[in-house]
Amino acid sequence: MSLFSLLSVARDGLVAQSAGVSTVGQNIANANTPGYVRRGVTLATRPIGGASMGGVEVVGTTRSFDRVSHRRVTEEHGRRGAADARAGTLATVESIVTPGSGGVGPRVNSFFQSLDSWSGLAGDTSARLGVLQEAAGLAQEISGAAADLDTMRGDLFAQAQGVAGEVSERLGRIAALNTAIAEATGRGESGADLRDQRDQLVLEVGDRLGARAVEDASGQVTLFSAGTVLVEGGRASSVSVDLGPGGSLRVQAQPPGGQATDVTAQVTQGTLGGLREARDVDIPRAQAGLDQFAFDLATAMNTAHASGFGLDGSTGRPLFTTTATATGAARALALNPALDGHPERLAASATTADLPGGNAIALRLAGMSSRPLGTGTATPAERFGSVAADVGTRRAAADTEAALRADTVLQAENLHESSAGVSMDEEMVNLTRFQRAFEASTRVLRVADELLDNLMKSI
Amino acid sequence: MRITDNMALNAVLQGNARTTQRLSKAAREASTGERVGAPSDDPVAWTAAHGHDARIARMETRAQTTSRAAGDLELAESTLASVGDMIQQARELALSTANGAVDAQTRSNVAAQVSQIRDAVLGQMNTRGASGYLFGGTRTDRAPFDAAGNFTGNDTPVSVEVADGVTARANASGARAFTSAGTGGRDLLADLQSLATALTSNNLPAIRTSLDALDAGRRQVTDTSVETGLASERLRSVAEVTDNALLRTRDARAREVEVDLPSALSSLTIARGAYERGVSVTRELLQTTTVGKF
Repeated sequence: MSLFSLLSVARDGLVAQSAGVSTVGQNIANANTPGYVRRGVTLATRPIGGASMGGVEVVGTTRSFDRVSHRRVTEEHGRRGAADARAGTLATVESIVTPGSGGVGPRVNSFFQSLDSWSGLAGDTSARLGVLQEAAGLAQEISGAAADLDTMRGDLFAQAQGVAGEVSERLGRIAALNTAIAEATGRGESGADLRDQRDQLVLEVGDRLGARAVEDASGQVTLFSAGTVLVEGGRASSVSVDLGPGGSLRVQAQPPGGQATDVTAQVTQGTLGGLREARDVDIPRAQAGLDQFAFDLATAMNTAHASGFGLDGSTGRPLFTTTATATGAARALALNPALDGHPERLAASATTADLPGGNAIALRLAGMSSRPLGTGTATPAERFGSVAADVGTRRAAADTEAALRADTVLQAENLHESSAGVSMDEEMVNLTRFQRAFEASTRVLRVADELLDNLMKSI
Repeated sequence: MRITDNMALNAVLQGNARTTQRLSKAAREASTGERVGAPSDDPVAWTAAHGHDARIARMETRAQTTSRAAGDLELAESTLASVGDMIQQARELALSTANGAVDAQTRSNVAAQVSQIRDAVLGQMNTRGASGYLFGGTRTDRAPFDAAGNFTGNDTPVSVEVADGVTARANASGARAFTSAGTGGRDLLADLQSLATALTSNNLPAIRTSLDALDAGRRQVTDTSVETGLASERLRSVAEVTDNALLRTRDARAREVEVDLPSALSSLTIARGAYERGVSVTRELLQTTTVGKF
């Protein structure tokens, strides 16, 4: 090896260690960048002629990406997205059905209390006004809860559309990145930054819809979700949400230039899956329970009340107005307008001869608090209680599921992070190592220079 | 397994989130004294508490209604007792004049007293209670006896619910106490009027006849008074039973949803300690770095 070769070796060393420092710098700068996968620099000896004392060269950079662990993270994100969305929605549903204070439950009790009081004072105007006020309050409370649930379903529809829009936007970017990665691969480049972005987008799609990505030899991924292929190479489908015939969410996937496919039944994961279950399963169940309760209550009350006579001798008036069937009964429930402001029209007596103190009908109405309502054996309070308890049970299960998914996501992320994450300890050590090597290469360069200088001076 | 800074930090953050959640729950339980605030906290306990709430509400109102009805019945009973006394007084006056030693003037004076008694009895018959006129049956909104003594009420019972599906009579029968509606019944006002007329007309046989009528009338009032008293007692007894049941139901509700306060405070202390340790560990972790040490 000649002195001039030594200069080349020193130069190689400087270049190689600089690359190492740059890589460390990149890792440190991106330590908190979502989707960033740590890089490493691969050095190799550079042969100089046939001698074994060659220089060094950077033969590439590595990207510590573990496809298996990333797939698991993506899957777990999908499950957590669904659990979180459902738990959050059910928390709101529970607060509508059973607000911290007031709500339908206490209103049912105070309504029957007013009937109890009235039954002992059938002709008393203030007791009658109390019944009318409580009946109107109960109807308003039930109707308000039903309206809030309807509004919530509308809001969830808008939210689902927003999520679908986010998914479509990301699918488009994944397809574009697929193309860019394939081109980079073709040029012999790693496309690491592009892959970081693409894999992060896959994760974000997983959060919203659930996803599974399979990478091919060119570095492009095919993305499966909702039982269909949403991205293949540079082609991305769009995802949209509208309302189906029954008013339920309908999720459709449409490839570019192709027909839209209904994938609703396969949307079980991600935020969209959670919203769909909460909106189209949990809330309708609560609404149906509330509707049936309101319908049975109104029917029982109306039948009894209509058989009695008011102080004015009138009869046949229902106490509440609502729908003819249970569907929508809660939302439509109201105090009969004919009774509003007319306490004398409340029917307490079974006959006109018993007026005004006859209380047979008032007793019958009040007694319904302890008698089965509709079919079954549950009293009105128990009937409403079962509706609320069902919501509570579902929320508790959803909360448990969300907590479980938070754990499994953390486990999966830890597994992925252990290969892909940046460790400051390692980077500091590497930084020092490359720095020292750079300094040493500088020293080699200086020594080679001095040797050459001495040599030149000696001639 | 490689452990990166983010892994360590994320694990601590997740732990802190759980600790904060536990602290929040412990604080809520300690401050409210209840461990169940919503169905999702414990659906079974919430359902049981909700059922208890309904029963408590029912019993509270039933206790009020029963007490009010018992009060009216007590008033009716004491009114009937007064009427009985008045009838007795009228009978004694009649008896004192039912012999040949009393002159017409004296009988005329007694007749005036009997008329006053009749008016007083009429006033008692139109007594009002919390639920309206006591002796008019379901005609509670107007005086059951007019000035001429005609009964305008009815004998329809008014009931109150004393237990689930069980009712008890809550009014006294004015018709059977004061009128001839019952079998062999006497019209008290008419009998008093007859006595006053007999005294005014100095008709000794009629006066003697009135004695029997007044006797029968007084028994009639007494019978109704006893019956009313029993009904009142029954309602008072029911009110007492309801009060006891109310206490037991409140206890049962408390057992379902309330926390043991010492345990709640202890949990709060433990949760606060865990929270503070979590914050301390996070601070330590953030300060533990190799940056700048090389």
